Amino acid sequence: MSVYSYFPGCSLKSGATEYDRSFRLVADCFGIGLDELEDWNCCGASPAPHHWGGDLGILLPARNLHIAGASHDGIVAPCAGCFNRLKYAQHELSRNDDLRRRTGQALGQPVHYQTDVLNLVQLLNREIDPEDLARRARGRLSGMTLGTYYGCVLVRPPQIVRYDDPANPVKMEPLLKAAGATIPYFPFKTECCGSYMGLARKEIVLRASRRIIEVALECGVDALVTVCPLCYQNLDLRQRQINDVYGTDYHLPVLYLTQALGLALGFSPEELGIEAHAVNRPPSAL
Amino acid sequence: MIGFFICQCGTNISATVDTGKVAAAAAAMRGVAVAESIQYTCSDPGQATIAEAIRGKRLDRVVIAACSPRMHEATFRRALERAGLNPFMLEMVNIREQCSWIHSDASEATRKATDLARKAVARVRHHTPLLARKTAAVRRALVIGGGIAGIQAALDIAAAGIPVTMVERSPSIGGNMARLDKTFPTLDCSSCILAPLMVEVKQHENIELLVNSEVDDVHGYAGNFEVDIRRKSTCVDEEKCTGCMICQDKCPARAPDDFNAGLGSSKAISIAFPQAVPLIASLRKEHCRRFNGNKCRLCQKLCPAGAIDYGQEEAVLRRSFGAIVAATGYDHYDWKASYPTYGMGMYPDVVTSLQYERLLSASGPTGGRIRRPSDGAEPRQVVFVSCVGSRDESVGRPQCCSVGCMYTAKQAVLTREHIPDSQAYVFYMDMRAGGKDYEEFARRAQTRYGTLFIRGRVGKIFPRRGKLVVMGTDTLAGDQVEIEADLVVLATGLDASAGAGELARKLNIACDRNGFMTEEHPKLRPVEAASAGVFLAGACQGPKDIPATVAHAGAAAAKVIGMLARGELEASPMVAAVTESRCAGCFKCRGVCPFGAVEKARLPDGRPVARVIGSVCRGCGICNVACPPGAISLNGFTDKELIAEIVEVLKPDVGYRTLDFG
Repeated sequence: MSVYSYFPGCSLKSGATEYDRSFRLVADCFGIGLDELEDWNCCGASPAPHHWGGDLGILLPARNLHIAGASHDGIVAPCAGCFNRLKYAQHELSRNDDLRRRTGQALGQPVHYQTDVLNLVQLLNREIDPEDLARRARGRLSGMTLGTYYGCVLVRPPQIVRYDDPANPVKMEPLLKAAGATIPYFPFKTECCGSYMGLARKEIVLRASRRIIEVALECGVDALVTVCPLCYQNLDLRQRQINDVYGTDYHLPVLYLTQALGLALGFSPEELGIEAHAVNRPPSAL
Repeated sequence: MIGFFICQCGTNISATVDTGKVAAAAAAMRGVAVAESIQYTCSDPGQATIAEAIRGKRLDRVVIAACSPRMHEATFRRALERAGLNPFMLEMVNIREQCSWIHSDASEATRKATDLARKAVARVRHHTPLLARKTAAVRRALVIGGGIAGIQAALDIAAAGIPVTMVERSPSIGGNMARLDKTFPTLDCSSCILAPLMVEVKQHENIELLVNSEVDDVHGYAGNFEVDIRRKSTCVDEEKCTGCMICQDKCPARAPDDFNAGLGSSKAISIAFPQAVPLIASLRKEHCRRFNGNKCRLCQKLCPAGAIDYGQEEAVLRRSFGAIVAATGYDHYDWKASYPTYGMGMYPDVVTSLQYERLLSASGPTGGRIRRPSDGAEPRQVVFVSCVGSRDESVGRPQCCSVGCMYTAKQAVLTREHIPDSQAYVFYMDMRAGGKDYEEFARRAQTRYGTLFIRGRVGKIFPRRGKLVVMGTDTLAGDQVEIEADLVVLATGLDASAGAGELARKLNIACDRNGFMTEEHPKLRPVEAASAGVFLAGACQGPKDIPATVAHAGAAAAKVIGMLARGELEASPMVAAVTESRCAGCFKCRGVCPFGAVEKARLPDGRPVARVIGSVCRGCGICNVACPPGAISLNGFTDKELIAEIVEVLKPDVGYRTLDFG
């Protein structure tokens, strides 16, 4: 059995506990061991490290990498933001001797940063055989059309994350197709959701997320599937605000990939935390 | 007796190098009978000074310290020849580009110039007279490709009385130009200006036209190429077919329409387009029912000329040529894989510029009415996207296609002419309208035809409510733009045509990093390829518009005519030569020669030896290095000469080291 260091980050411990829960359920089904990283800290994605300046944006994720060390088969960060920060730190540490030295000084010992960093899609693709998934899927996703929404930091900058096609990522598709869903081409799969502008300039998020939902509906999808808690927030939690501002009447469910797979595997919407979503009216086929 | 002449080149050299001092130093070198500093050596009086010295002092060899030999070596060789010396008894020293221009310290530069002079004097002592060889040349040219470049080259060569064979791989000549509707900046009809030339090729008594044919293999060398031409089987007897089109009308098998760039469909047996030359049908077996397990022989039954022959086999013809012109043109870049955000081809109303030409053309699939492919509706809002696969490092294509700005402006103009209440938008990066009358034309597209130009790239194209939304940036306004389009036209970049690389290998010529064939010098030898006797015409050398293509092809034709006019070729004598007595017959030289210039020969006693074909050898010297017994040497660059040079420059008393063989 493969065991991975599990880096939940702040989201999966607070606003996205259903992501954490559904991830553990799916991992369990396929015998993927998750060992939560001991004494983990902020991944560095929050705005503070950027504005603080200096090395903080590297030191924070570097410490997480260091703790993970070589203890398991790699470190998995389901949140796209966490994944991006860990990859970014790894990239910078590998090419900057001076930064590596400073990081070692901060840690009090030479930094260990070369552990394998995986995002959620990567982990599931590595550990789940689609045929096995197809056998176990109980038909809850069949007949459903899902839009795969990757967002930005999972695939960009491509030279740092080195994962999937930055303009047309497709790696979620084999899993969802095996689970029975139909996946149309979704042109806004990497379009900006507005990110953390929701705090300072909410109208930017509403405009950006509205377009994503509008195009998704145009593509005939029953729900959007994402792996990023921030994208989820902007697309699901703000749908009512979008409706208020634009006079629309959107009720498009937004699911984490693990929730969609969990449905296929027979877990109930309640077990997967779908009922806690703002748009919790289940897709017609659920 | 050596004459030494140093050029002041006005102040180009004399500002940094004390030419008088160098001349004085040279005068003291062994064998130097005269040493002079001249203001402009290449000028008439300068050359006269040299000629006078040759005659007066009975000089038998000359050193000239001046500019790069690339500049004036030929000039000074002629000067020697006029004064009665063998032109190859000259040695040039580059003290301008490689000394005065790049140094600022006058005393150091003077010292370096003196060193260079010293080594040249040492080398020239070993020069021997060389004689240019002459070889007979076959008075027939091969033109590969029947687009406007090949047509122009063939007609020009044929007009000079030199027979031409034109090889075209598709069923008709005409190339890409035949598919264009109108041409910028004059808006004259492409077919109308091209068709008469196509017919002239067909009718010209000096031109043999071979369509459905490809160059299989090339042997030989400049003046004497042996070329195998593969004539593909089309199941149609070209002599009998009258072009009546009955077969095409009745053929039950649909096939892709290559001429219309994939719009509409054609038949398994068809004539490429109404103005095709030759106007004969050809059958594509991969789409024909008979060749796919069916018993259909409708075309054979109906053909009034009895021209259909299902058993026709391909044939290989061998022809001899003195010169070859490559005129293989371009293909449009296949954008689909690199631009997923433009829909990867899943939206039928995102078309390429070439497809749009076919929608504009009266001979196209819509009879010249602009109709969108999805539902046949007439578009009102047409958005043009420039630089798809051009100037885009994110897809690894930094090059400019050089024609996209202008053909897009033209297509925008034609859109308004076809549909007066339409609106054309052009997303552009920069307007590159450098040709004659081009800028004025591009301006008229805005002012008279109301085209809206938006400076910026398009990020995404996606469907919304039956329209295509084109999302991009306006970098001048600093804003995001969304336009709802009925039809989107992608101005795709240009590639060398498919198979150009393979042909280049057969011709022993190089291609650049973008796949276009490489000319020998980007400025001074723009139509000559690196292999002697091979010339380039048109877009196979790099993207070109029609006027530039015609000019380039005409230049290639002029070179062919110049080469074949006298019936014999004069080859540079500075080529490799084999000392047969030392040759071991190992033919390592043959293996390393990039030009195929070494052949196997046999001495009267039966011993095999290498022999250099002087007219093919380019004097690169690789064989020299490869030859184990040192039997090959390069005329003008013998071991003796090079060693003398090195020894001289490494002499301890020279002071400091200047190693420079320029």
